[in-house]
Amino acid sequence: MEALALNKVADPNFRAEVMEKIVPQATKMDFNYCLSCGTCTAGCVFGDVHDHSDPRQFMRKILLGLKDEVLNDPFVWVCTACGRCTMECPMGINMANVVRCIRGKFGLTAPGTLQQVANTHLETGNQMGVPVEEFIDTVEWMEEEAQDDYEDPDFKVPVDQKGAEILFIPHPREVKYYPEEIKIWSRIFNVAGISWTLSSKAFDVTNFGLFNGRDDEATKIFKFTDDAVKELGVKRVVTTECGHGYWAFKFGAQHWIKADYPIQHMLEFLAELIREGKIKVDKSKNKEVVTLHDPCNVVRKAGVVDEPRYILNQVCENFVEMWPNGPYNFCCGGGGGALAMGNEIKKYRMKKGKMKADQIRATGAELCCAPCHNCFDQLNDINKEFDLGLNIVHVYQLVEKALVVE
Amino acid sequence: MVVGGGIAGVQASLDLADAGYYVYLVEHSSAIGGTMAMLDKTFPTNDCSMCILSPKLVECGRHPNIELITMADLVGLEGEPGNFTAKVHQRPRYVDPDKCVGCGTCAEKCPVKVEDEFNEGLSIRKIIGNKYAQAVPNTYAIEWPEKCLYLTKGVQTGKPVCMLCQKACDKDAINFEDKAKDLELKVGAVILAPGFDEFDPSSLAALGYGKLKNVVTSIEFERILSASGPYSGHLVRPSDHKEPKKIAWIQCVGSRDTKTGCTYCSSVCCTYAIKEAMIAKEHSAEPLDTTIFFMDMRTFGKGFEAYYERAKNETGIRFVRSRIHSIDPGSGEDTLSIRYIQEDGTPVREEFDMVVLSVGLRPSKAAIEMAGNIGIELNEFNFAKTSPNAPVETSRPGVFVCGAFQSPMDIPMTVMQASAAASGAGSLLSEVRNTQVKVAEKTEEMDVSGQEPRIGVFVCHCGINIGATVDVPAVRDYIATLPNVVHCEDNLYTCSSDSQERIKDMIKEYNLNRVVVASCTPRTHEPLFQATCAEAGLNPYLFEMANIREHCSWVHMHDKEAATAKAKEIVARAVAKARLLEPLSTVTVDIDKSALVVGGGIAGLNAALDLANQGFKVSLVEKAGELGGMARKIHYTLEGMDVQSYLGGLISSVTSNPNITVYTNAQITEVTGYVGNFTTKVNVGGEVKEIKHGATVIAIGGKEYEPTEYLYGQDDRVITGLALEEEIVKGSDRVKNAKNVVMINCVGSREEGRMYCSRICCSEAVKNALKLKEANPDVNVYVLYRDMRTYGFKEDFYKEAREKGVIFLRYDLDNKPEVKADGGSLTVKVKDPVLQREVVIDADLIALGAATVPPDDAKQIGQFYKVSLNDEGFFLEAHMKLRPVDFATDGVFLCGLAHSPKFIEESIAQGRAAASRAATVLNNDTLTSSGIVSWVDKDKCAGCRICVNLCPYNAISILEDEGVAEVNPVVCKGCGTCASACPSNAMVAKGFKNKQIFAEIEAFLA
Repeated sequence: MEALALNKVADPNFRAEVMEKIVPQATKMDFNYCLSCGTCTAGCVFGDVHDHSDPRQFMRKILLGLKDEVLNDPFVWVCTACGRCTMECPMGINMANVVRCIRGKFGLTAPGTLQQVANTHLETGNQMGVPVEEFIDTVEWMEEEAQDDYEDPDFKVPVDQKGAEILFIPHPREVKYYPEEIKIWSRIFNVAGISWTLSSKAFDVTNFGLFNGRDDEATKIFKFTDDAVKELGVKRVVTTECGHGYWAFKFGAQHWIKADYPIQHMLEFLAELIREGKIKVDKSKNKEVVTLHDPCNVVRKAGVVDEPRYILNQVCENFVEMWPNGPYNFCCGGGGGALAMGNEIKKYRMKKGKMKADQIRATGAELCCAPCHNCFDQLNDINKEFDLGLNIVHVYQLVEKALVVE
Repeated sequence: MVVGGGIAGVQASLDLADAGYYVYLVEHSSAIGGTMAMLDKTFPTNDCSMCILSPKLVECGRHPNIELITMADLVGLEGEPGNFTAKVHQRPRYVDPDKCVGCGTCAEKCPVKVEDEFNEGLSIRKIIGNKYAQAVPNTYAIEWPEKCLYLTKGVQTGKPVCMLCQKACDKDAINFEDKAKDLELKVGAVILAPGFDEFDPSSLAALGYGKLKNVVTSIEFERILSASGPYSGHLVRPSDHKEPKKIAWIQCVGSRDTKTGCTYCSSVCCTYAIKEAMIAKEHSAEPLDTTIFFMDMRTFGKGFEAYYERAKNETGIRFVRSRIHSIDPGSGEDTLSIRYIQEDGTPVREEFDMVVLSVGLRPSKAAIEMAGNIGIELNEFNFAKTSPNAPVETSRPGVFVCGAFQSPMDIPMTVMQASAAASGAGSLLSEVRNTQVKVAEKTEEMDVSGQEPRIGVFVCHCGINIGATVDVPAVRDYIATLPNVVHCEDNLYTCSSDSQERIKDMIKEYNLNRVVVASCTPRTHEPLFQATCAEAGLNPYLFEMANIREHCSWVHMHDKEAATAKAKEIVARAVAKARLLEPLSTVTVDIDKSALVVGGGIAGLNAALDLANQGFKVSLVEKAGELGGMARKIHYTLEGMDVQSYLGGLISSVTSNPNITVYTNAQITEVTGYVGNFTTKVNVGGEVKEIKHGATVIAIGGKEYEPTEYLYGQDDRVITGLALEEEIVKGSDRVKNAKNVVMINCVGSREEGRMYCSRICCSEAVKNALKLKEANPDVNVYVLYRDMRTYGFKEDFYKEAREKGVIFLRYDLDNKPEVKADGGSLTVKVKDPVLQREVVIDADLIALGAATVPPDDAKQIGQFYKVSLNDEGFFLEAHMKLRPVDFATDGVFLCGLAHSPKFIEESIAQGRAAASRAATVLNNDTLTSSGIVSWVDKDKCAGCRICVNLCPYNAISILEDEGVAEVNPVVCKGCGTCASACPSNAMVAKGFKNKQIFAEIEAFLA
């Protein structure tokens, strides 16, 4: 390879540009401290299975000002921004934030349909373009079914209930493709007897502005929920089992829209309901061997580590951990928007998935919990691709199954 | 008052006590020794740590002017420098030091077990006991009274619960009534030497410490290696006590890491990891695979680079430049798996039997609390705050600091600082010198003339150093059968303080008139045992040593039987000689209580000033026309010190001091004499002056290497680091207009021919890079380095340089940068190791971090004062670790760059340390010679002068009247050259008479 003429190819302003554009600004200096020590690359296990997974090298290009190389580096999109490298970085460099900045602030367009999904969300208020009427119809339909199923004529799935304590934000695909899910989580909330509501204007937990790095778009998407919170006067927000959407709320509440109301993940909320005795559960209802995949955005980044373990130990007889787990888990391979990046990225996604498949297989589990819709889909792909022959479930499904109703 | 009984506190106490001050040595635990006592070996000599420390501890313990106050803390300090009232809280010991003999019966009976802190919790001990086998003082203590059955339940219920220790003690030493004491002590100055805490890696979950059994800290590993440790020195892993075959060390655990709030470099871990890996290999019966994972290898100290090279090339330690993310359970039983990244980005997964975490140094929690109590300021990391120009002064006048509480540092630096702090305290209190001291009572010497030899022999196990190879009891039993041996015993450590008492007791009990110790080398330990004999009233020359460690157990580790047989012969040899030993007398001469300092740079100026402030007359000889030395070329330091202003102040303090006479343009032409009575002739601008002095401090500095590489001297855009600094200060146009400045480090250092690190160049590059960026933020600065060695708190400036956009680019020795001048353009080509690509940088200016080399006249000065140089041409100190500013030649001391490359603050400390050491000589009125000297039988001497010419010490002269030779016993070193050369057998080497030597040979051949 020809020697790199540093003064000719390097852009001396590139570092300054990254510093100026990175969010949050409070961390703008961090990446400059890089020691090229290799901790990040040692922590990124995907280097075992495919190329373009060397965060140290990516960072080195930034530091040397090799702007063109950085912008064209497949790493930008192959990285799932899972944050495992950052855990042990001695300089505390948040690689995911640097990657977001490069993705979103230098005129790049994401591969696959990622940007289209974001556009749909911005235009229609949800990433799947589900019309409000369809949302309401589906909810009412499920409400009726639930009344029959649970022999409870008073069973309600409240929508736009002003003054409710909690606004629950589902995933639009629960509405569009898996409406039964509505019954399941509604039942838990109703058995717990809490005051909650859905919003007809904000029923999408996702925020692809986190993935494409465009903070302006991310802010607008956040605003759908923020407006609903204010309009309905709720006290707090609970999200369904979605990883990135939840993290986008937690991250965005500090950097996009100053939101001072509590935002909880389903896992935190369910743990609270069990701990406070609002719901009673019987673990003998779930006899299968269950393992847990820790979604990076929920567990590693937001620190929701103990809650899923607490819940699973309460609702399952045979909960087993995979290794490594908790904050040191491996990403499912589908993070950072990879699922929406088409075939170009799929090959990387499935190579990463092989590691997750091996991890799961080693546990001997019959069920694998994925408290994140993104991980859920990736794990289903892995399940098929590597013939794991197990079921991927949400944690709330197991909780609902274990409910004891007196 | 000295607070802290580690090596720093011990050294400071000894210096002060020897210089005429009474010292209270306050130690938190039950015994002095500190961290050094816990170490197995020390770098870079791999000396046994306890072996070199123990004589100092014993000396401290029995010094008439050092009062040990153990189990005590300094809790308050009132008053002014020179007149403090120190409040000391002393916890009850529950054992009477006057009665306890350290026999251990109490600990045997005590039913309450706790984790042994000294062994880092790897073993258990009883709540009553001594801290470690060689503890000084050796009085036992109930160290966990809150766990003692009697002191808790017994006292509460008023019933005689347990009390087994009291029943067991036949000396009636257990005192349950002992109470805490609050002492108020009048002191003139305080020296803080509280040491450090190790970083606790439990908070770093990814490393698995505390969860994965075979992940240990470096200090735990020291205890595992140590003979007195939990596994008696057998290298085994904690999980199953099996010998590991493969061990990894992980560097920078709790150092250079923002996560742990510790961004500084702990300075010592790189070299101690090398040491531990080397020793582990030695300890292992099977070949042991050792790997050190590191970021930058920081072997910056004197002799450390050669040590690193030895580790790589001879010992076969593998070094991997990669920081570790996490440690996972491995596939084998209790094995550990590490995924790391190679230079080219390729990941590797490897399994190890054991992983050692090289944990960093933290300021001690107890010290932080004490600092609050006595009102001294701390820096941002909670180390004692000092300034570069006053490195041992705390924010409170009269309170000094030394050792790892000032900043993370190794043992030589600690010892230097301890002496420097002692010098600071001594300067402050010079008016009251010798007013508070007690004079050691001399035991009257027994007359053994005409007695049949009654020999006592003490055979040492030296932990496992001897005991694991030589069958010590077998040697003991054999020796006991030899004629004239009336007593023979074996000891775990014959050098420990309780053993000294034992030797004295045995001398009395058996009326011994000769003593033999079979242990290690007389070089370090003979003075200790001789002093013990003297205390028992035995002439110290009735003592003989047998070295069964260096000469036997260490070299025959793999043949135990033969080693035991050889040990028997070695000891029998000593016994044979002991039979013929005679008491020898010594001569006493007066000491000229003034000093000569050679060299007027920062180190020499500080040495001169401190000696003068301690009340001694000083002559300062500088060969140049002006004082200041190398520092004249340095304008600022990394920490922001204004060097010229400091230097100006220092020079005026020196020139205006009435005790100091300065000679500039002065060349030394001749030196005669010896410790206490040197005469140095100096040519001062053509006029020869004769200076008489009792001590000499050599501080002749060093110089910047003149490079021959990278077009230096061929292209004027290639300059040295010092020249760049000069241009930055002057604001030269080319510096102002430069767009790209490249610095290349390790020019002339760390390579064949100069295998040492020049220590300062990395930080100097950072310093100049920051200055360039400050003047022009748009300038591109590239620092090409091999390992960034910005140790200690200097690491933060390295971080600042990265923040400012300075590019650091690492190169390897086998892939050095290429500098080319092509037409008008100057380029540097170098391979970026992360990208694995060559990069070319256009440079407007290239600054070379040139080595620091010894001064031209080092050899000559060395010959004048009969002191030697090391392979690199720097002066060689008496002992790398514990006598860093002493020469092997008595009365001569060294400091500054002539010792090795170092920073200004280090030269200041070392200059003052040399002053402290010189003061211990000058404080005496007289000097006593050794008894081992030559003696002339005047009846036999023919006056042939052969001996006069041969004597390397100029100790022999011819008495013109009588025509015979005479030996000056103070100068004579007892080398015996004269005796072996004398054709008429007139020269007798006392202590090495022919008949004695023949007896030894015969014993060997028997």
